[in-house]
Amino acid sequence: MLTARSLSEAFKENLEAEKGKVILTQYSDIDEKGLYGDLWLIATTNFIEVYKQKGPEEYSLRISVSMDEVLDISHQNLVGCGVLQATTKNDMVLLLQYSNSYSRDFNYVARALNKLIKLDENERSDFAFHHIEDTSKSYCQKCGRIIPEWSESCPACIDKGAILKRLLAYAWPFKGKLILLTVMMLLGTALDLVPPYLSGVILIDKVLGERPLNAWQMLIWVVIGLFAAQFLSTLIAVVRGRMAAWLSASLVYELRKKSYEALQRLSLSYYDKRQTGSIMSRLVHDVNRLNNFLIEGLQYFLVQVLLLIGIGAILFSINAKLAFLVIIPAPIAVLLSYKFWKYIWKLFSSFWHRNSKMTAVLNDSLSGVRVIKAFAQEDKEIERFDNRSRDLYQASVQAEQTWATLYPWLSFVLTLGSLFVYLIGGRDVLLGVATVGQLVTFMNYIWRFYGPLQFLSRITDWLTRSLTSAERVFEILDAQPDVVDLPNPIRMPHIKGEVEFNNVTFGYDEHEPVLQNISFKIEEGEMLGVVGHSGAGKSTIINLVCRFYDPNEGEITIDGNNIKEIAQQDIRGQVGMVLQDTFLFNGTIADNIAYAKTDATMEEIIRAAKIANAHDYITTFPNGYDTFVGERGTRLSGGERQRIAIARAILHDPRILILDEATSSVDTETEQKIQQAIDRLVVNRTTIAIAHRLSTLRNADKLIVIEEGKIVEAGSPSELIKRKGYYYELVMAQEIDSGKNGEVANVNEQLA
Amino acid sequence: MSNLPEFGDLQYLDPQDVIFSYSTSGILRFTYKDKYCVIKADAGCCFPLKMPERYIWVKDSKNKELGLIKSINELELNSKEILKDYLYKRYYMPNIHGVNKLTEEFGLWYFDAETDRGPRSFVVKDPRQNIINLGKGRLLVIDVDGNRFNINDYTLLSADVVMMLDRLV
Repeated sequence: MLTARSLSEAFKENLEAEKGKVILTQYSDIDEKGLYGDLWLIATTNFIEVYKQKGPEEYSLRISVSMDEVLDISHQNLVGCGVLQATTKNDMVLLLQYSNSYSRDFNYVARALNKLIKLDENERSDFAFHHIEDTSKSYCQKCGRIIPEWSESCPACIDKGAILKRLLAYAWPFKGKLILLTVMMLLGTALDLVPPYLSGVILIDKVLGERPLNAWQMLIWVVIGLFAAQFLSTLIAVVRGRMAAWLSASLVYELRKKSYEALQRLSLSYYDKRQTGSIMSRLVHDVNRLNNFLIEGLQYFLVQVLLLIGIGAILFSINAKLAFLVIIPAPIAVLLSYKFWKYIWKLFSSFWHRNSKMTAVLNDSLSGVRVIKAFAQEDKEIERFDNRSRDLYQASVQAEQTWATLYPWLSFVLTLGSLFVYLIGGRDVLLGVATVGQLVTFMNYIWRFYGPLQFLSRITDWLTRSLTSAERVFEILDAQPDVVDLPNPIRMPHIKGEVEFNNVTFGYDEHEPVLQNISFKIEEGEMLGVVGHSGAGKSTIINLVCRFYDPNEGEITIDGNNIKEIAQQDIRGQVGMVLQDTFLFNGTIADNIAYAKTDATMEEIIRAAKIANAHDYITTFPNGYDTFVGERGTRLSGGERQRIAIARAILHDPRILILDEATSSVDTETEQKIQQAIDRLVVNRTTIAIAHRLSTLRNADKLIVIEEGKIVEAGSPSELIKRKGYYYELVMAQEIDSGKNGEVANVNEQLA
Repeated sequence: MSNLPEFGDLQYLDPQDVIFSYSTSGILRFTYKDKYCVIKADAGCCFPLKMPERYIWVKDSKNKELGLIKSINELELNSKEILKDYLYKRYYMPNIHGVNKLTEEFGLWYFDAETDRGPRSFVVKDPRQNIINLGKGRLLVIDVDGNRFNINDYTLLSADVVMMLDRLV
């Protein structure tokens, strides 16, 4: 955990007197030798300097560069660290190195310094630099702890009472049944306490011991009593079980439904920050754990506490001295149980970890079985699996053997208490102070007394886990989407399709812009081609047009209206996408084509498929349009999936169409069919197309070339070819790669 | 290897002709065969974890690879020291030789460690993902900020730390 550092005020004052007003200061944790140390970067109105801090008031100057000499400040991320460099008029200066803990800060510092060097001295003194709070690591404002990934709030500071209260609120609609359930659980437990008393004090002492005249009659009544207790206990267990099953399913259904609704409302940025597995785990495991807590756990807890009190009272009422003997070892039993479970948990944790590693290898090899066979690597895979399997075997042996060793000893230690009861109680029976029935009753109750004790030794762990699960589920329920509609958004049921970007800057992480000052305009019905290397920011433009994210700076307009002011439903309803990695839902081909228009007629589905060049291959399948596509569409080839996506877009009939590498993963023949389908699709629609195969953009009205998040070229394809800049180089590089004479001729044609 | 196509050939730099130096302002310079000098060079390891001193790539300021050095030890002494120093700083991965305290809270592991670059306290999120077993007791530890630490043999650490790490290894 990092603690906030600050520069000595006295040193700062001295510095200002000599070098001008201090504008920004930034601490770094690595010294010039690469060791952990204390370095300061200080920018004054006249200088950028680096000082090494040797003591609270002791600073020594390492580097000093005149602000007027600096042309550029850059930061470079290395491995586990980064460096800040200054390019001056004569040289390049390595200012300092910093660990990854400060890379975000130096990113901001570099941006601020680059603004600063462009100002004159007077303007610099008015420059305000603010440290940006780091929200990515999410430190708890209260205790300073880092908040774990699975949580939105600090688990140490969460108000457990408030969570419990909120949790109970979810069970409130079922309060009547829950109270009934609790009463039945208590009744069942009370009935369980009857047999030991009947068979001990009553049967042994009163009937068999004293042998009264009506002993036979009493014996019959004892047996009837035992039968009744057993019968009622069973009956209650059945009714309670059935009611718990209904309650449990209802509560899980409600919680899961609410969580899933909340998930669907959230923006894409929520999913960017979390792994799919983690979200799924909340909906599956955490909801189940909450259910167990509410339906079984709370009642169980109540019963265990009442059992402790109840049995304690019975024991004391029968024989106070013996009862003390039972209670004295109780703290030791609790402590031993606590230590035992903690130790065992660590061993089983290792076992589960190794188990998941072995499963991962198994999953890997089964998924990649074709590759294994193709490269004849069966023996290597057997060895890999064997290694993991042996690891698991060792962990399993250790955990199970430890369990097998320690658990009987724990039980043995716990039985020692009962031996004392035998000894002292037996002596009392011999002396005639106690009865045999009392002793037998004690022995029957004693085990029921230690059970709740063991449970209570793990109560903190159980409660923490349950409340943590509650917190994880509530985090989903409480999460607010980043992209929200205004209170009265502009409704646009009929978008024309004019799209404009005005100086748009955006980064998924705000301090690392992916797009910088992007401006372009697409007229209604025009096609814009976006070209650039992988990672240049092309797909980000699409994400912004769909308003999956909002820009950090600048504005995007559709038909002259700021996209932030338009109802999201209207934008999404009129934007269609055909992506490189087509996602098909598990269902039939017809279901997938009609995904965005569920009321589509069969004729419409077939027409859309025909336009998309998909109809011919669909009809070759035995089940035609009723063919199940398999999970994620794996039963179809890439080209077939792509054409279904185009048919889906055709049926959706969007005003703005987005094509993201729609033809990049198919063979030439399929590409032609897809291209033909796309040509039909783009007519009279505003289209934004991203393509690596530049030949597919030759019909574009305009092209923009993106490099490192900036537009480096814009114009029509023929203009850009004539300009012989970035686009020309990209086209030529592809021509050489593909060696297609026809396409070279096409370039020459455009040049002419 | 011999059957690989020609464009797969590696361009090795002759260690005798390689000179690394630092500019007065601390920037790495690379001179080769007295033919050319790159005033802002970069160098890195192809296998930073397995072979940190072999297969070293050298690039110019435009990220164009100039060639590979087979082993740092083949270089002339001064260049060797400079390159070692550069890589030592470039790959910031302190070696942990002692752990004073290791505690777990809410799935976060809090380390208070002694490293070859000084004492350091750090936090590891999701230890199952961020403490990576490199084999033979060696561990790579990545903290919440993406800082990397190396433990050469965790079994030599204190017994309670070993027991905790054993859960993951």
